[in-house]
Amino acid sequence: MEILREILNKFNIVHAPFILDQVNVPESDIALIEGCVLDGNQAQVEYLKSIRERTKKVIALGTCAAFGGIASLSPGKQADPVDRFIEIDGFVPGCPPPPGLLNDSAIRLMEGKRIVLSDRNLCSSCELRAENMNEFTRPIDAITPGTTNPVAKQATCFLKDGILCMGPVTREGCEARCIKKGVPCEGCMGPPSQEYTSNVVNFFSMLPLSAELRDYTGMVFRFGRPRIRRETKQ
Amino acid sequence: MDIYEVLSHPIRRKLLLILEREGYLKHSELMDKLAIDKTGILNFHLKQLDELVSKETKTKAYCLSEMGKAVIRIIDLNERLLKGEELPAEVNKKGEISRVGVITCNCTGEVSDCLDINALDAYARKITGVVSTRVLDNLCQEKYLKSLHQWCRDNFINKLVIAACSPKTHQHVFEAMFDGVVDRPNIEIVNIREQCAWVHRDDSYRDATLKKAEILIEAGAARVGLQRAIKVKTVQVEKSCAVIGGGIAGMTLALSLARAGMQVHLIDKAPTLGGMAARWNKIQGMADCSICFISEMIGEIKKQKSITIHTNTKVDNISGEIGNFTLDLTREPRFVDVDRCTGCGRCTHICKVEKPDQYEYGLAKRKLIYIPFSHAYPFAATIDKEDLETCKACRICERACINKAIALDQEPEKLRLKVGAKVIAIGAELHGDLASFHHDPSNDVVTAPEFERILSSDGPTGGELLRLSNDEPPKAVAYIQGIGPRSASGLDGVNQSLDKLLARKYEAAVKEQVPKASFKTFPARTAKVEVGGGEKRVVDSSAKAYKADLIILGTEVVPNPDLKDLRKKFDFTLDDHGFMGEETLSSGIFGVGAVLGPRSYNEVVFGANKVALDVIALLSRETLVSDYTGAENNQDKCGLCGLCARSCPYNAIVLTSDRVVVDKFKCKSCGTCASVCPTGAMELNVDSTDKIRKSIEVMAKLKESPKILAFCCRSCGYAAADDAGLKRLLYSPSVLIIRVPCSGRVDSNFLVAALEAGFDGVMVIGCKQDACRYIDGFYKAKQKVRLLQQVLGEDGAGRIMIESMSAVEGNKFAEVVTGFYNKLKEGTKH
Amino acid sequence: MNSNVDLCTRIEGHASIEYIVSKNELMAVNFKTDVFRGFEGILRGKHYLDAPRIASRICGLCHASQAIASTRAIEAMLGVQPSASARAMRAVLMCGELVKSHVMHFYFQGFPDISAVLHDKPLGLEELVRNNPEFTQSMFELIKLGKDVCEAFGGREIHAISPAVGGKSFTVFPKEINQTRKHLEKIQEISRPVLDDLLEDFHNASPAEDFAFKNVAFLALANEPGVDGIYRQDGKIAIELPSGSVRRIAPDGFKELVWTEEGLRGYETSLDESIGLLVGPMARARLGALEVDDHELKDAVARAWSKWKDNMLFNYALQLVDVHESASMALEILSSLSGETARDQTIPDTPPNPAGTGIVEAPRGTLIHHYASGEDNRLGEVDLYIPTRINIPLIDRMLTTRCRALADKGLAMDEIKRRAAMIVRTFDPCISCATHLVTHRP
Repeated sequence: MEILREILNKFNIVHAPFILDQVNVPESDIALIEGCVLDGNQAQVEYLKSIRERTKKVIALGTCAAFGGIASLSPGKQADPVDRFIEIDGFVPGCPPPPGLLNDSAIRLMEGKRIVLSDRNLCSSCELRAENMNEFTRPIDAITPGTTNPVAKQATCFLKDGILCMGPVTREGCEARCIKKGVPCEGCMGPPSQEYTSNVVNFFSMLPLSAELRDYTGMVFRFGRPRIRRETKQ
Repeated sequence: MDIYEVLSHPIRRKLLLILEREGYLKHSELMDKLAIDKTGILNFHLKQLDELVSKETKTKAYCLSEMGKAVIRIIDLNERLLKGEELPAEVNKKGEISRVGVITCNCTGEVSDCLDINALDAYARKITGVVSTRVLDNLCQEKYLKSLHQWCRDNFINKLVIAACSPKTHQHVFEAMFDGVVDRPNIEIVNIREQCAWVHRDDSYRDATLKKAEILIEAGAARVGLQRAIKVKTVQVEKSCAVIGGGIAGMTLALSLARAGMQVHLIDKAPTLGGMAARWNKIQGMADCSICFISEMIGEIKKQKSITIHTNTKVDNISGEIGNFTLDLTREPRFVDVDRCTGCGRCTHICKVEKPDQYEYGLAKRKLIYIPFSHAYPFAATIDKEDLETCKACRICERACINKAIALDQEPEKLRLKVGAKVIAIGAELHGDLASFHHDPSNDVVTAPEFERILSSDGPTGGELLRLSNDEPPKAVAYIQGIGPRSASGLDGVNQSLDKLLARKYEAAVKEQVPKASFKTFPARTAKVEVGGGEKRVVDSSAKAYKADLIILGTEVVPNPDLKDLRKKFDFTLDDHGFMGEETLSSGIFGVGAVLGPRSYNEVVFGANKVALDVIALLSRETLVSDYTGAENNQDKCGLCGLCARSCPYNAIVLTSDRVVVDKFKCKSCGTCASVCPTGAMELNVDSTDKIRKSIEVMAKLKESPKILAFCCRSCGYAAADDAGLKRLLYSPSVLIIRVPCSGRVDSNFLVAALEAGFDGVMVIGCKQDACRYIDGFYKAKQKVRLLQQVLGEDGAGRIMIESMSAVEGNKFAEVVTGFYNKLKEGTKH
Repeated sequence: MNSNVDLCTRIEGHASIEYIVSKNELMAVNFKTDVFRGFEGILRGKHYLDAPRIASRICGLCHASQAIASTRAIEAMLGVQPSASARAMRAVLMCGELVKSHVMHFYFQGFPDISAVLHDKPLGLEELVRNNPEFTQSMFELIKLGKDVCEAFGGREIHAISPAVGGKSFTVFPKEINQTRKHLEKIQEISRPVLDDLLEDFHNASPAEDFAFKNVAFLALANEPGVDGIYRQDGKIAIELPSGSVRRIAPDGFKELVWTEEGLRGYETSLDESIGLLVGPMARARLGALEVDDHELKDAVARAWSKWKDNMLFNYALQLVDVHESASMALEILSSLSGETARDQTIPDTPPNPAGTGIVEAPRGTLIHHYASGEDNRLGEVDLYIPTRINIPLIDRMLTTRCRALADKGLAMDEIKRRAAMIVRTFDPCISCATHLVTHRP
């Protein structure tokens, strides 16, 4: 919020449906876009294109705009990120985007620089990471602590404790807020590289997942789904 | 013009470099800068440089032409790479220029029978990044070699696409043909014969076959364009070897090396050479007493001038690489000047303070200043560091020493060695839970090493086999074998033949001195010792009790605790029991003796000789060239999650607290690690993710429907596809193949990316499950594919398939591919 | 017949207002949302311990209410009771969420509209920021305080992670509790003078005709008079009919009202078709859930309320009252919060109940999650009842009636549209929440 004030001092907000009456998209320097496009909704795609045409820098803000987001979990519906329709100049992932990263990115944008994201995964800044953390053998059968481990504070890597944590396949940058609070990462920062679902599939293929979790798609399409549906010929 | 010939003269190279730096220079300025005093000389060189330098007509200043600039970049880069310099990342991106040449081989008409080869060449010429193309009738016949080299040089071609037969057939021939002209990783073979022309020999396929060949070449050009320079490093070999550990293994090896004329540094942290065997009575299977044998060996070592001995010395740090290591050592003080000490023993005699003798396992006592044993080397007194304060308060020995050898103020000393190879020979330890077996030497329950001391002629009983409790010979001896962590956890011993050897040795020792005494061996796993009522019993698995008046506790050989510490400095791996894993020649690090696990004397000597041969082979080379193409970890991207280490079939990847270390000598370049790395930090040098992704992108341009992309593993899937060609089987030209080292290399993302890019179906074809060249790569690929099929459900399950086939199953390949094609065709019709 | 669709600005999410014109006559005006996100479909088949985290993503404004309603539905299904400290933690978290949500709506949407209606001075964002620096400063401060409370008690500022089935996923430490106490006091301190001025303005103005409603039933989760309970978590579903009579239904009997999905047009209930159903601060105040402690403030509210009680514009004033009073109630709860350890509940392996209902009062009104249990610890059928969607039939009715009246008066279409948008905004519609449905398509 402080940063919004800063932005108001330096920039004119020319288009913001939430706070402005303006309906048409005017020319601007920076556009921040939130949310995904559902089922290729034509009106939304047109809207995006009109923004792209009139804007120097388009930034996808939040995991929905960057990867498709939570709506990807919807069966039979396609949630597409903004960059499947228009070219973008950067994105700030996170559901919600971490305040630190948001501030940094806003400052960089105001200075005319590119947004910088870490290329690493969350493990690199996780306080629960241990030297031999890859050597876990216990079956992973829980998606939240508390069901099987009524402990006060998480002391070891969740994966070692049999609790699914998406940290290894999630981009660093959220300061591990959830993990610090004893809640495993659910992957809202998205993959550090490549596409969302295949990234998770690679990970799951290597985990000793319980049968129950193995066929649970709630994590595989958590914040993204590949657009692979085939156009069937008439 | 031959660019390399032009640049062979240093003045011309300098001239180009000066122009690159300064931009524009007049004739006179050039003469100044080059320190040339005659106009003619400069003119001559300028003429030789020809098109590389141009002259501005107005200012009459010289500058680099566009071609000259390109040459500077190539030359500069090549030289720096040859020197082994690490180029900063941005140079690699911006500075590296790709000039791709395409050679299409017609294979004496085999290719042109099926497609229009001139049209193919015309297409190749238009591909972005391609600078020149050639069509040849028969590349494998080397008659064009000279003209091809010239063609490469003339066009500054540093990357090459060869569209010809399968890489299985002639890859090495082609690569060798261009040695010194184009680097091997920069040659991309595109298979337009076995996997294109031969399998689509049907008139109805003719146009589609040409389209496929075009796409294949385009993908090849795109791939090779992304190939990064591979660092080639030349190392001058240091002609010496460090042997860490002065026990029987280390000494044997040092002697072998010294006799072959090698310089050897023998390093031990103890004040004397000899190691554990020096304390034994006899070495298994030898009649000689151990100390005599060791002392003879030490004598032999003393004679060898090429062996430098460093006792009381530990390794602090190690750097460098195979062929050229730097070792930083610390020599701890022994508080006696070895050069002055004559070993007369006055000091030990006069010393008034006693402590348990570690050499005697505490069975006897010794003075604070002592000579470790009668044949120790160096034969000089020493004081333990822990006793220094006591000694400083007394100093009686200092006054007694007539040679003024006592030096209580000695400081640690730092040493630095340069060696070409290093051998770890620090031995092992004996360890087990002795308390539960009622260990008590005063009650005649002794450990095996203590028993060795009792037998030893310089031991507490003067070599007579007597019970320590009453100085009488034993009547019934029990030997419990294998007390330790492995048997406690239900595992078998690591070296059973050694166990048998030891049992025989102890039985013989007992029978020799007390022929009437009985001797029985028990495995520790089932045996129990009971003490009480003035007698001792060993109870075996069938609950039978055996009365014994002397019990020997044989503990297990466990890894030396120093090994873990050394591992942080040296790059080597540990096996399941925590012993050092056996290394190959290429790593430059070797292990001998019990550091590799329990070993009998014969095994130690055999191993030492084998390692000696390896070391000699390594050190007799003048230089080593490394061109590593396996997995590498980019620390800037690595988040240390360890998934790569989890996936590696060879345990070549070690996760430490702050980095991921790839053992370059264990890595077999299968790429399984790269396929699961979530950040892209783990990457193969040649079969890199960006190259494969680029191939997918380019190949998706093929306008056929349905189109299929198959990822085939190098050893089986790809070979099966070749086999289909050799058998001239037919399948649709809308099947494209990407070669991967192993099916384990296939990242789910490749499959998803292919589907997203517009392929109707994707396949992974690997080895038969238990025949996977990379142990379990195929299994890992299957895990991924299964999961992907399951989560994608009806959108994807039917469009992804995984198959295994052997290299000769061309029929199966054609069948499977055609079946898949037909199924997808059904799917698109609706 | 043709329709003219206008993008509706200054609301949360993407929606529009549709004007149906036949033979040059304005026939109907509808509030229209056209994108379905389908959270029922998303939640169906999900692991029941995973559901609250997903439900929280329904909305960026009332994320905590969604997560808590979901948590409570699952708790009901599993037959577990959250501990007192977990319930207290949820209450404080919901207070933070309410402050942020209401203040943002009030500042960016309400204040410019109030200024236009009561003082005939329309305000753009520029003027709002530049001409009222102190007011802007205090509003931003409030939003930040609300966010900070969410962060301390939710684990992060949006999409709270603290609500866990059976309790809470972490413990709030005394340091954060003290900090939050200061934040809540500050919220009261800042909101009070703004609220006083606002109530004064309302008191001095006469109710604007555009926002008047008739024949409305009010619905809220409220405690019966004399019964204690946590505001917005406890109580029964209370409905005040236009006649003034109040019906009270136990939470799990909510289906007595018979809710049927009517596509995107809201729900059909067992109430008479001519009655519009309203949820939100207005309904909470009406049903006594939202009470004012302070005598002076109580009187001021009552004075303005007597003039404006059938007028939606007053919703803005009640939002600020809600902010002020929520902070006061959260402060009370904070003092009872003890430092129990986290994750204190054992959760049964299989749910004993076939279904569970979780009801909370979200900032925008009554929010109901109803889950049936499925196989393998997964959710079966999922029904979500979202405040904005409950209000939609009433919004449509008010829009049509009012716009037609304005058209009869001969007002220009642009002016009608401007006023229609203002009517919609008084309801504080939240589109991300409202577009949850997947089963019907228009």
